[in-house]
Amino acid sequence: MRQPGQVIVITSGKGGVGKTTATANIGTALALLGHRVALVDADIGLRNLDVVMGLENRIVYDLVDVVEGFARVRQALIKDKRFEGLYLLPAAQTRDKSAVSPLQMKSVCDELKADFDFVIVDSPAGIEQGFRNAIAGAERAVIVTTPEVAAVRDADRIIGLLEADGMAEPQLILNRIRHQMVRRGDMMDIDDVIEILAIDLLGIVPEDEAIIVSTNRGDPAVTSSASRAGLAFKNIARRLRGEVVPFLQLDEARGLLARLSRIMKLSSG
Amino acid sequence: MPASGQASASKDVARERLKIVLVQDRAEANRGFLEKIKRELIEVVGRYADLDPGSVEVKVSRSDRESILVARFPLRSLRRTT
Ligand SMILES: Nc1ncnc2c1ncn2[C@@H]1O[C@H](COP(=O)(O)OP(=O)(O)OP(=O)(O)O)[C@@H](O)[C@H]1O
Ligand SMILES: [Mg+2]
Repeated sequence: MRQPGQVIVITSGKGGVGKTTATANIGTALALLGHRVALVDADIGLRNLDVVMGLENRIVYDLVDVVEGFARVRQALIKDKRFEGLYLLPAAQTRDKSAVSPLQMKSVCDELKADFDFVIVDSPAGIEQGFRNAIAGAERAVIVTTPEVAAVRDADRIIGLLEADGMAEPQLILNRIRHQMVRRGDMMDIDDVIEILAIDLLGIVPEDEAIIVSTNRGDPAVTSSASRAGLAFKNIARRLRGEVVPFLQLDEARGLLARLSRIMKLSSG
Repeated sequence: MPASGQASASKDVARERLKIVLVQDRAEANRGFLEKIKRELIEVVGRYADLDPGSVEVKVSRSDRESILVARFPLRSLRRTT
């Protein structure tokens, strides 16, 4: 018997802060590290993860078909042919959140974790049933926020709800950091947000055009060695599997090229 | 250089506004949670003791190190049974 995997929910409160982007990239990075990974799109009615992953043309069955008994989990899982070990369980597009209950969601997650090292659930925004469903089967939660007042406020609310639900120690991803703006005092920094939310930091992801390009192509940014955000998500994936990876802000923010040129400058002058 | 000391650093404004709004949000969330606990405690303790439900008090008391949930049940009398 293999060890059961872990179910991790990626959630946020506020919409549009990067949950789906994070799910796709972290999942792909974990698969590239050799793990068996199932991505679950819990955003029923507004499915996105399939297009971000570039798998939208391969859907036959979805999560609702599984809970309603029209398909087995195995039949609904789409195998990503580019990355060994990576699978997607898509959401239904034409149904709504009430088509799935937290109990049903938990049983799907339990079935998946018997077969995968990581089950990563992409939560919808909000605090209603879709969120309740997404967290139902998870033993670990990652909260995504951007460094803006409204997003951090909603993250705080989510942390409170997760704690009330008995979720142990949620962790934070701070997404879309712009170092220029932080430097001139026009964007909250990591320390500000961490101090206010009093939560463990899992990673810092810079604002990066490569995210948009990769989303256009349906090819996660972690596959590109030039993407700074991709590197940040790779580090996050390694931390999730227990590696200690230092928070090198320069690494994550400016990328390898910038770091190299800095080293060259230092050594030549 | 960071724009510290400059009154216009907008991130300082953001941080202060956030701190204030979170104090309000958290207090409000706590109120709902304490009310729920209080209602259930009155029901359970009321089975064993004669309580004045109006005088029961449930609150969170904080020290530097920990938060403690404190409940006070002024008794009218203890029941003879149990
Ligand atoms: N680090 C980043 N740099 C640049 N663009 C980003 C970054 N992260 C996310 N985005 C962009 O922000 C938008 C929202 O991202 P995404 O769809 O992942 O958010 P979400 O939290 O899943 O949204 P929803 O709440 O609607 O599900 C997308 O267009 C995405 O490409
Ligand atoms: Mg999304």
